[in-house]
Amino acid sequence: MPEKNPPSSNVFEVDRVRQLVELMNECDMAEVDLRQGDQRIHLRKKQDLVATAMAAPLAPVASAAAPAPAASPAAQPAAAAEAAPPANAAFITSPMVGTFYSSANPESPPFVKVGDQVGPETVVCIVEAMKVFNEIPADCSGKIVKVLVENGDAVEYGQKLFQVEK
Amino acid sequence: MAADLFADAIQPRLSTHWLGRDYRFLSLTDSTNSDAIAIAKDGAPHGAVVVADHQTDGRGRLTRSWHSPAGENLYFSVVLRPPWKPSDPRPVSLAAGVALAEALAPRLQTPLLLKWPNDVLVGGKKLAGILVEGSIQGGAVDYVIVGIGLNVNTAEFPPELATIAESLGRLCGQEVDRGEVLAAVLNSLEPWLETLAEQGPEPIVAAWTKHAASLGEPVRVTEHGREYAGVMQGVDPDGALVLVGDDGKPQRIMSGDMLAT
Repeated sequence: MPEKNPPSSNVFEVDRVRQLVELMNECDMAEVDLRQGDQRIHLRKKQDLVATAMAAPLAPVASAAAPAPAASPAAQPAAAAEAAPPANAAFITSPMVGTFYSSANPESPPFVKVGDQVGPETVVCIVEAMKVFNEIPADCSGKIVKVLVENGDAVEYGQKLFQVEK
Repeated sequence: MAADLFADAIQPRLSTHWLGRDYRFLSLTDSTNSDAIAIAKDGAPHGAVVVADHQTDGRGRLTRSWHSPAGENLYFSVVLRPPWKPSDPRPVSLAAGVALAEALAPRLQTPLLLKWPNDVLVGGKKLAGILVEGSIQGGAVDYVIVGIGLNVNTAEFPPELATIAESLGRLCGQEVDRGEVLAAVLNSLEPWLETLAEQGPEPIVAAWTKHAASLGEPVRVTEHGREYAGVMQGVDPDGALVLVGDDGKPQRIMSGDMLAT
């Protein structure tokens, strides 16, 4: 979906999101990506509808099922300037604030490394807070292409931990 | 001999509604937390309990092992699967500490203290440890395992543990009935877990604070490779540790380690 300016000054209005979701359902669109200044709203459908709204900074788009791939290079000069993740990229994100551990203990090998194939149930890391150690499964299928955090790092809710090629 | 931990010895002593109603005893295992994770993945119900007489690979936090000889102590893990969001289980370690304090403190002459977030101390030595492990699937908690290692009747600890570990039997000056202690802990744990689920962390934090070790004392904490020194001011309503450093500013710690002072 090409960029366009919505008429409202605030793209994060709940009604606006609802309208967009209805529009996506009506037109059977897989993805909507709107930007306005440093704000962005990005809605993407998988099996179930997944809606993500992000504030600044504007990040490269991980789009799927773009309707007109042949026309896109000329139409999206901004995205081409950055090393944007490929169209089949996905991210495994942290479901909570805490400390990221790449392995079960310092003697163990990491749960996953670059090049590993993962499935939805594959445990990719542990995120710990207050000594509650949570195993995080990939929740998607694909190949790990980047590990975006280091063992022992603090992670935030929603922070990207791994890039996965679907 | 571990008949004192068999289901028919424990379950008649339980006043719980759901905790320990699915009760599995193992004479030998590597770790009850590993077993509990396995049965949780197989669909074990909320409140299922795995108890072992002897662990060969009892785990503490990430690196540390838990001394787990046969026939002496308690090693058990509880499966929880409440409808929680990913951050909701954070105060579970505190709730388990409160339950242990409530069940054990009346038996002791010496004060029992809780060290943030998951150790039970008497006289500065560790009486019990809590290890909580969970799994988050599709943005929600799939299961939470509360593992507890409680030194009951170890009379002599190995030299490397002698200065840091304590047991109920040593403190009471006599052998203690493991089964009776296990039932008391489970009977205390269920209402605290229900309080957490129904009312959130505030009442847990309030009860935990009554037993808090190092309150108002200088402590050192490491978090994400950084060390913080300060006076332990308390615990925030969400369970985070609060230190006040020399600059007078409160510092919240959510996933650190308190070091010995």
